[in-house]
Amino acid sequence: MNWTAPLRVRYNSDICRIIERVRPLLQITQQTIKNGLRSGVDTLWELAKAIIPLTILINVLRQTGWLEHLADTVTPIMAWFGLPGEGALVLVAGYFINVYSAIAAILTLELTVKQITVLAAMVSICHSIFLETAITKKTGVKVLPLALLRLGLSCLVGVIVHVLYPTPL
Amino acid sequence: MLTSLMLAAWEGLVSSANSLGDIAIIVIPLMLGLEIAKDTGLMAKISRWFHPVAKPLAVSNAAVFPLLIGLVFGLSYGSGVIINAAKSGELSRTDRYGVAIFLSVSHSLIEDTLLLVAVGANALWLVSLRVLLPVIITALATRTILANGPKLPRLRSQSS
Repeated sequence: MNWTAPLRVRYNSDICRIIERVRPLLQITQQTIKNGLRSGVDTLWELAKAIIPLTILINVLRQTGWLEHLADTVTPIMAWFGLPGEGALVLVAGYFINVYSAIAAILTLELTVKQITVLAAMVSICHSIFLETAITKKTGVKVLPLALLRLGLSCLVGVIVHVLYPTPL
Repeated sequence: MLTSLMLAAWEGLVSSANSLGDIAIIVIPLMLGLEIAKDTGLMAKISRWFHPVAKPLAVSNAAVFPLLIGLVFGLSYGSGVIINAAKSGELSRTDRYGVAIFLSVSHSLIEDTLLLVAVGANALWLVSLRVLLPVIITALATRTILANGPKLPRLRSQSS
């Protein structure tokens, strides 16, 4: 009967080891799946709220000819980034509303891969200024210099990507 | 005139619905995967691999976890972890400013980047910019302005 003791210990430790391995997977509960699906649907909803009204608005503005007029006034500034005047729409939507609105605006314009990359880089550095400043404030740091840093960096990166991005032959 | 405007609006509605369908295919599985990575503790494990990053950034190891959470999940999603870490007292003032600067420059790396790539941006450029820039800016900031700790304003959560 002496042999049962070591055997049982080993048996238990094996089970323990297996449980230890599987334990992370046991953390995936119904709640995980629910939360994941929810945040996916939430993102989609946020996008829908931005994309549908903005696309309609931009389409209508274009039809009336206002868009062309607005674009013409900012063309010299947008030229620094190698963008058409209409590209300002993406920046305004991204800076003041959110990334989703910027995406919506990109979808309505006809841009090259390079131009979209410039816009994406600029907007991903600086976006939803108002909302995110409010969130950052909660961690207890000074936010105004941070917001200015992002805005400046965004423009700087726009110029850099425009200059460095290889133009297709 | 009016009919052409209506037509433009309708076209906008149709094309935006199409784009939303395409984006849904990316976003929903992605969010599910991220949630699983968080709940299985995979993120905590990965953040341990990234401890060496703390040194060039001149922040402590404890700052790496909130940094990574913010970088992957985004500010609003990761704000719970970030604010908790800030309040727990294990982060120094330099750490907190370092994390704030890093995350202001770059966050929601996976979701935003994928969405922007889905509408046509170059993935390689976008990802490398979004990883390199915050590292450079934070490393500069922690070594210059933030090195003179006492000059910084006291943080609210610290005084209370």
